Amino acid sequence: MNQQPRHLSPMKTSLMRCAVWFAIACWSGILALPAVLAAEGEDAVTPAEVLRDVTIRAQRAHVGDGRVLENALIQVQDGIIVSVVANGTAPEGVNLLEVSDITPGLIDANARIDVADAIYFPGEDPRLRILRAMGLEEHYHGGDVCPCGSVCPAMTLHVADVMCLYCGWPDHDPHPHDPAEELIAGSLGGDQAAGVPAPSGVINEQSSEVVPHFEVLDAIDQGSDDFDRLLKEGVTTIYVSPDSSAVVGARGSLMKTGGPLASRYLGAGAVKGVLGSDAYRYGSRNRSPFRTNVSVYTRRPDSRMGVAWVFRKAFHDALLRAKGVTPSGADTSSPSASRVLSSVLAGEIPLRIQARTGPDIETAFRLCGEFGVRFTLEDPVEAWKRIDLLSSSGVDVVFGPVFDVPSGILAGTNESRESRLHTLRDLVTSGVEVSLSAQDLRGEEGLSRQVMLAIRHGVDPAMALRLVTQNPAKLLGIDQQVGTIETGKRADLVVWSGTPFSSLSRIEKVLHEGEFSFVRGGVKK
Amino acid sequence: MSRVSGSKEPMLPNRMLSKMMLTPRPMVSLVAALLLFFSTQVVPAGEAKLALTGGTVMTVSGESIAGGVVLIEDGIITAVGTAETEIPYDAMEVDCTGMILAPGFVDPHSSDGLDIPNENLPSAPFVDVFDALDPSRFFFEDSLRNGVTSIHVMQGNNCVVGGVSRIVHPIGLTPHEMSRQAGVALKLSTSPRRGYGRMRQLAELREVFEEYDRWRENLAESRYEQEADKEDDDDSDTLPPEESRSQGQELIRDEDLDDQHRHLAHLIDGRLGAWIYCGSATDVAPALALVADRDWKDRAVLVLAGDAHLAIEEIKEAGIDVVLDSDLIHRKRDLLTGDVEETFIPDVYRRAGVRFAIQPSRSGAMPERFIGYQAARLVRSGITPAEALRIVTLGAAEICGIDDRYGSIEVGKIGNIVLWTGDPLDLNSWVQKVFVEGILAYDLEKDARLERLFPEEPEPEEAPAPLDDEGTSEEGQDAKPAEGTPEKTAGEAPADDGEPLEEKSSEKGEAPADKPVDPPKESSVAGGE
Repeated sequence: MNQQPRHLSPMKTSLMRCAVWFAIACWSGILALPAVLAAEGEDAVTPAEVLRDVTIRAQRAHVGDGRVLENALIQVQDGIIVSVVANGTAPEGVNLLEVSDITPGLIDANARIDVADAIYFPGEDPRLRILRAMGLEEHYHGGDVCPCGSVCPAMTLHVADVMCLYCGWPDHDPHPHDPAEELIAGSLGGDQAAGVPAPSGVINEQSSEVVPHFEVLDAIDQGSDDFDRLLKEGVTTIYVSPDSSAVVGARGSLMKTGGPLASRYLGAGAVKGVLGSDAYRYGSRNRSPFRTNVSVYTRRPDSRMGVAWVFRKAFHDALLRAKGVTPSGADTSSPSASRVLSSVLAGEIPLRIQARTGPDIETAFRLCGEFGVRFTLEDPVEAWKRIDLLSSSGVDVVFGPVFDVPSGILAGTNESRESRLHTLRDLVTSGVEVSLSAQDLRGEEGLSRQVMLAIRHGVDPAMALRLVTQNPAKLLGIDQQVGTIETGKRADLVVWSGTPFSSLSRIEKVLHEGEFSFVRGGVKK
Repeated sequence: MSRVSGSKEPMLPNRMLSKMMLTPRPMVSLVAALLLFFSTQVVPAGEAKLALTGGTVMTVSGESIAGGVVLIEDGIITAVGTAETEIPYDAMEVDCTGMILAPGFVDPHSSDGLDIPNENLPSAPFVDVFDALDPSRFFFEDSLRNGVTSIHVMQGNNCVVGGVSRIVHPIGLTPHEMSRQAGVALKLSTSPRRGYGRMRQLAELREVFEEYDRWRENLAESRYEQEADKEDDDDSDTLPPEESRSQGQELIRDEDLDDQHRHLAHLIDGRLGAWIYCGSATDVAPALALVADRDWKDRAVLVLAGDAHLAIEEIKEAGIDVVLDSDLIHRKRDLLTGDVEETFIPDVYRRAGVRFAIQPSRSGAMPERFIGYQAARLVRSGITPAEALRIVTLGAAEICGIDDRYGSIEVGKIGNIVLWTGDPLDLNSWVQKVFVEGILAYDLEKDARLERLFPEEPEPEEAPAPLDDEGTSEEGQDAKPAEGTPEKTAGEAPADDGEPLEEKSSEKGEAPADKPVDPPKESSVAGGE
């Protein structure tokens, strides 16, 4: 309990009971402490306000653990599922909702929440915005790429003397002060210019490479429209992971996407480590902070060696401080960072590592092996290269989105160039515990589109549903509350017009804790 | 509907030769020799006779035929019928059992096939996309992979008056081989081109046609005088200029048109269509005014983007076909409240009864890049599957004015047929084979790039039944808890076969998602307090 997050203290005490419970669940789930869950689970579940009671008759209830119940009767009271019966008969006089297909609310274990609503056109390639702002929108082609992996006027216009906006090609010198960057910075201003959706600037931290004592929660606008968008896409629970600016980044947040604002936050999650390069920033390697001259005070690792060193040093500092030794050196992390990392080393706080390329994945295993920490692998684009390693190590994986040509955040990095469409299928068949994420991609379907693509690319439909329900729930330690349509679970439900995740059917209704939070064509409650 | 009557020949040889006068002389003879060689081959012809049998034929124009037969001779469909249809003894038979045959999709508007989508000149009606067609573009390969067999390649929207478009097949080594109809339409834009304001855009657009009118009048006058001179050498009494101009109009011959004005003349006399880009609602009115002014109603198509659907009443009243932007959803943020309002654009046109075509996404995002998926989105919004399929095949062909040859499986149409593993609109269906003019243009089994991105699962059972590979790649995983990894760990080797686990799952393969578990529900969760 002593690792109760700092930020909880100023919050209202009425919130505390809920929040603490979920926070614990969140931490301990990854640490495999089901006993804690069971013990703590009972009293905290009941939300403060009385919710609607609903009885649903579904032709097919896709439970979320692989089962499909025909003609299922689902009864919801106070936002909790109180009974699920196949071929059951509805009691007289209840408010019966007849639906064709129903699934649990979806869970995105690596959502990039749009805190400032800056991803105004969701799912759009940020590079397209640059080109649009420059009046070069016409020249955007998803397939035309610069050697640095990005689309730029230099490539699309085939004009030799125009440099790539991202890497300066044909100079091949991605220097932060090259004219191309200044051009963008001048015309668009700041981090947005670098293809960065503005919000990521908010939840990126650039003051230091080691900031595990920060929390993403502090940057999240809980009233952001993005929550509504997620709800509409059937996503009822998200885990917001920090972005990739810092090598040892902030702690993520577990959130509900619906319900009263005050109750959306469920708890702090894992510390996020980032190996390899920083996707938000040009993608070729780490960059110095915006609008700042590079100096010893703003130094950042700019090779993979440097990144691994910063990671190592941070944990070494924590070990030293635990022994009472004061660490020294230019890159010494702060004492508060060390305190959090000590908890990580002790297995009290989970660790998540974003490692996209094959070598980075290997580095993650190597580093964590050195310190004896378990971790969750986030966004391993090139996981297909090391399926063997992932399946034999039993590491949990948060994968996605599925793509051949990257869009969204991943369009900004050259770490997304070797994706394969069979990765997810191979991860699943080799028994890796995978959760599927859409990251920043929104649009008509968001996360459910990822499931569509998973099914198209060889994942069994029943299994594919688990990738966005049961698996992430387990990963996040909330599988006692959400993730399946079972008695005692929160009534987060998604009603489909037909077969879920078919391109010919769509989400008609979304229930959040028994309440209709989205009804197609109707007024949102 | 064939309002556009351009020549169906890919390219007139003499025109090609005239081009060659620009090339260095030693090259000319070589190229001319090559041209003669190729020109004998260019005639579209597939396998002499091809019979596609056993599949479900979605004709689009009529009823679907289960176990139907489609016969293609020399690239043209010569018979469509039930299994009783007589198959010529010398036809090459392709067994399509278990598959769905659909007409190839028609991409109604694309500049993806061009190396650069726009000209630097604001008005360049004299250019032809032929010269910028790049057969090696990934776009064409991807088109085949996604079931598109006819593409209306058109210059981009960043223009005042753009070049002339053409219909191409996404297969061929040269623009010549790909082209199937030259001179379909001219691109115009009432939306400001880059760097322009609306006033300048429209002023230049008007000036293009006013200049054309002036030129044409002068031409007419001089033609009249030429003819008059021929008749009587002594110019006794000449007509007043107005009359000589009006009389001279009929005397203008094709050879009198100069390069600068030829395509404009074809546009005005109806040989070319007018595809007018309106990037927002405010650009629709000037476009419609232009159409009304010039009386182009029968040949105009609006290429719409942004919030152009707000002008639906005007578009409906004008009765003009439209091509929608690939982004089918329009989001608008209310300036005062900050609320975002989403509109599914095709709904607007469907409700208004305006005929529309849709495009695949150009941004590279995966499912929207598939035009079949775009059509599926229409189905989700309430259009029937049959109608949605029609919109992306015959409907698009009608709007392009090529429905006499494309868009359905009918006798007399070009043999562009796609074999699907399932419903063409279902994202889980894959294009198995594509026939373009009766020639096998794409085969899933031989798609090297796809094989690299998405190799088949190394499954022992996969080998005997190669055709239905699509649905089978999953196996009943439900019984296997995720923790039980070790069995498969050794299996990283590609051809690791014969695991009993796989055998078991194969029986479940038939009904994957249905009901792996029979016991009624609450038992499993009863413990959950």
